[in-house]
Amino acid sequence: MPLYFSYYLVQFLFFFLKDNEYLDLFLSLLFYKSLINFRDTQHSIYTRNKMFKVFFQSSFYCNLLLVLAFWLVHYSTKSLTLSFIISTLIVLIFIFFDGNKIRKIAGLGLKEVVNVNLFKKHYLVLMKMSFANFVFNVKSNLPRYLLASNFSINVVGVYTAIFQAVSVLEIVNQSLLKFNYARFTESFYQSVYKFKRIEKRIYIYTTTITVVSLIVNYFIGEFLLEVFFGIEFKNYLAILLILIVERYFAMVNSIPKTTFILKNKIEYNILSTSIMLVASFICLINIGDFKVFTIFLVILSGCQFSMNKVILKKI
Amino acid sequence: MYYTFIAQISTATFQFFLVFFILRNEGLEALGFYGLFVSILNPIQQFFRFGIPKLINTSENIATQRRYLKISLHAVILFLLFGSISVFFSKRQ
Repeated sequence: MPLYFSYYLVQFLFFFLKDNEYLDLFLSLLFYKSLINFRDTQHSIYTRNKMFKVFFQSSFYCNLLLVLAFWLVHYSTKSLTLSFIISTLIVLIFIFFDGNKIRKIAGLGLKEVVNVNLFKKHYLVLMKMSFANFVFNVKSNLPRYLLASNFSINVVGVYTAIFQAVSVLEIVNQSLLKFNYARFTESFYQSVYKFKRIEKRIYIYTTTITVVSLIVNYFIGEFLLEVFFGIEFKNYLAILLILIVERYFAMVNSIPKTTFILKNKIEYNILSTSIMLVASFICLINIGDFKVFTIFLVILSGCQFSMNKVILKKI
Repeated sequence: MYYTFIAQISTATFQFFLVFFILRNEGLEALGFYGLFVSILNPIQQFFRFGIPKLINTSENIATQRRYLKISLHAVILFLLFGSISVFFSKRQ
């Protein structure tokens, strides 16, 4: 099965990579993202062991250096590929730094660390998790594939820029509610009343943050888009506001998703995401208007949230 | 909470900077390709992550967590091999 899966993945890549002048950028991004992936796994050890200060130092200084290096390299060479290669090297340095720190804390020799049996033991669980993560991620990235095939690569650029701006709101929301999310998980094992109360609180806070953000962006959104992305983005205020609503559903959807995990019913989440993946594909494949496309994204996100809530009531 | 907040904000800022920088210096087409490539790589990256961060979060001692990290290193090599082979073949086609 993994062989068949890999074959289809390669076919999927060929579809987008054929005759592409940006192949070098793809290759440099591949190396960069693979190391970022490993660094994130190292960081999960820090957060698991409540080493928040070390996590902060590693993350903050690495990002600061990445910004400086990216800017300097691009300024002197005008090459995006080279900028990503240098960024990859910086991440590699931080991986060595973090690896050394973790080795010191764990206090283990290399022989003790290499344990193939552990992988064999967890092979099935790991494959199940990999597949679930793959489905979740394809679902969230589907709009870009469809925009690339239905519209043009420039529209993907517009979507990427606005989506990134809206993602900042999501991260701010997550960070501000981090304490509530931690209490939400804890309360699941304590009392139903407390659990429901915190759930309600998270919904109210997230809604408030979204409404405030919508009002602010309604008045100064055009100006912000022009300042950050240029004059041609002035016409995309409606897309920005629609995507804020879409992100709202994605943010509140994290509550049913966490509840599925707490109830040990992750397969229901995989099922609902797979249904929505197929539904999204069918609904979005023939849409030729960018604004209508984003409105459908909101409707589909809302449907997924409602579906998850209904499933949670039934199980 | 303060430390994680700043760390997350710095990551978000870097990602935003990348988009801003590519758009301003390379144009909308380059940003489109960047967005598309990231969206292609993200699911495959998640697949080759093998859910290890979640396993780390559920394991009790740091020694086991470090063993998972070693598996993660193998996963990264697999991901790199897969991507490089794909690019090689797409160049040949």
